[in-house]
Parts: sequence; structure tokens; C-alpha cells
Amino acid sequence: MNDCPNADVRDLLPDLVHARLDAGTRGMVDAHVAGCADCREELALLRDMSATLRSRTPQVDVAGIVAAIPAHRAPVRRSWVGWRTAAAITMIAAGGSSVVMLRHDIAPVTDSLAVLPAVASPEPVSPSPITQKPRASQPVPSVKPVAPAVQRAPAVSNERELAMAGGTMHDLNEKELASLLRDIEKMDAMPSADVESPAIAPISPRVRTP
Amino acid sequence: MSDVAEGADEQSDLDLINRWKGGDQRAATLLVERHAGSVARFAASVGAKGDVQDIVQDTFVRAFASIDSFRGDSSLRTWLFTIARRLLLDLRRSERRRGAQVEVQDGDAVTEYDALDSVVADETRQRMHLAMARLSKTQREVFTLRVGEGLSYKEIAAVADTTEGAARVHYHNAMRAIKEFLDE
Ligand SMILES: [Zn+2]
Repeated sequence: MNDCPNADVRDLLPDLVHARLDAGTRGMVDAHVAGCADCREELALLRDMSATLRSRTPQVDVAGIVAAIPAHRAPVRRSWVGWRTAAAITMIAAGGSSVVMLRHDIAPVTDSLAVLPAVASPEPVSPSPITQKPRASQPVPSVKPVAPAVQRAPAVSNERELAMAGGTMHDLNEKELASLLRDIEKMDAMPSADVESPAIAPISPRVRTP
Repeated sequence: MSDVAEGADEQSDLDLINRWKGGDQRAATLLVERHAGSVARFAASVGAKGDVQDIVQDTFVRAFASIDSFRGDSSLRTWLFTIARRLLLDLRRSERRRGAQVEVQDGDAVTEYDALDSVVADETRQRMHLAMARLSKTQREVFTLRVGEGLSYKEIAAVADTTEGAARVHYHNAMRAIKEFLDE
């Protein structure tokens, strides 16, 4: 099997096989091939090789692949909301850890009052959700926060500042946390086309307010 | 050369991508149906064996996950090949690190490549398989993309991380080796 000396045409033969030539180029190649035995032979070989290669296509499970493809999310919105959600979660996490620290602070107080009967406080002081939620899961009497502890809480949280991306943040109080949670819910409910919502913009300033 | 026939195809790839972005899951199915065979063939030609399905699936998952970075400068198929090749290289690299598998060298290519389908009824095709098996990995990859998939040298260069000139040389060396084998 000889190589045709016309390297340009030889280079185009695979494109002829795959119908990737424009009409003008194709006419030129066809005309050459019609008068060139070497190119006709090579073209036949290329067609056979192409068919051979394509005949050994491994079977794949198309439905399985499609099922694994995630739904599309617009990149601009994703990065923006992703950032805000991450920031909000960081704030929640920071808030959570401050609750732990807070509870650690007040622990001696409650411990010292643990001798009190569980019914000592018939009308429990309404504590902030922050302090109430973790306690609710505890079966011990400490579920009922005692006045001194709850009064101490704001003082402790006012003292404590948490380092946050680009600034410091005071502990979240009840209102701030509730507002933050509402903001996060809004983020999740946003349609994908909604790139920026003014409703979520003021998060950072709001939490900085003591 | 220009992309006449397959250029029209790529236009509708973009249409399907946009339809999928708009929430049309059927468009994803059409795109996978259209290209999964090519990606599987290519993956097998560059060394995927039992893990072809995984490679092809990961390729599509990654492609769709970062579809916004696909600008349509290249064809979708070329882009998919590029992703598949990278996945396969990463996989083989991590396998080597774990010592699970030693990469098959070019000299071992006959057994590796031929084992893919030992039952080839047609004697001519059997000879062609053997001819392909004798190529170096790079020659086989380039030849598969050029002859089996009809990619241009420019597209091959993008997929195989080489230059157009090198792709052309690999193709012609492969063609010469195949002709010599078949003439024997
Ligand atoms: Zn010729």
C-alpha cells in the first residue's frame, strides 16, 4: 500500500470519511481521489478502520448516567447565595459556640441552685431561644432557667466578641438569631433567577447591631 | 478543513444545553444518548477497561456540573473527551499510588487492547485490531480520534494535550505502521 505524494489531500481523507469538508474542499478532494489509486486505497482503509473502531463501542447505561447528572444551577446565583449561606452558617455556628460558652459561664450558677426543687419556678422566665433550645433536650431540672442565670446572659454576651470574616460580631440575641434564620429561609426559597435580593443584603449590618 | 456536517450538530448541542439549563431533563438524555458512545469508545481506546461506565458517567456528571464554563469554542464532544481523558489519567495515577495496578506499557499493548474483544468474526477486522494494538498509546489515541471520531488535528491537540503538529506526525506514523502491518 503506497502513500500518495499529495500530503495535503492525504491529510484530508479522514475528514472526507466523516463528511467534515465544505463543498469546495470536498469537490477538490473527490476530483483527486477519482484519479489517484493510492488515495482510493487509503480511503477504503480509513473507512474500514473507522467502521472497525466504531464497531467496538462499549455498552453504557445511558439512563444511569442521566440519573447521576445534577440539576443545573446558575453559577452567579450559586456563588452569591453560596457565599451568603456559608456566612450565615458561620454566624450560626459562631452563635452556637457562644451559647456553649455562655452556658459554661452560667453553669456554676445553675449548679449552685440545683438544690432548689424543680417546681421552684412555676412560671419559668422566658429565656431566649438560644438558651432554651439546647436545654429542652435535657431531662434535668436545668431546663427551667433560673432568673440569675438569664440575667447574667446578656452581660456575658455583651462582653464577648467573635472574630468574623472581615470584622467582629457580638453574640446574637434572640431577635437577631430569629431574623437571621428568617433570612436563611428566604435564601432557600429564592427562585434560581433571583440573583440578588435586597431582603438578604442587610444581614451583616443587622447582626453587628448589639 | 471546516466543520460542515458536525458543525450543524454542535449547534443543536448548544440548543440542548440551553434547554437543559432551562430545566428540560429530556435534553440531558438526548445529549448523553448522542455522545456516550463516543466517550466510551475513546475511554476504551486510552485504557479504560472494566471502568468504562464509571469514566463515562463521571465525565457527563462533571461536564454538566460545569456546563457554564463550556463556551462552545470547541465541540461538546471534544470537551467531553478532554474531561474523560483527565479523569482516566487521574484514576490511573491514584491506582499507581496505591500500587493497585501498574500502568500497561506500550509494549504490552497487544494483549491489553486485543483483550477488549477477542471475538471478532471478520478476519479483516481482526487484522485491523491487531494493527491498532501494535501502535504506541499516543499513536492509538490520536489515530482513534482522527479516524474513529473524525476530529481535526486542532481538536486532537486540545484533547490529547499536545500540539497540532505533533498530532499530525503521530497520525501519519500510525497510518504507516498500520499499512505496513496489513501489507505483511
Ligand atoms: Zn492521491
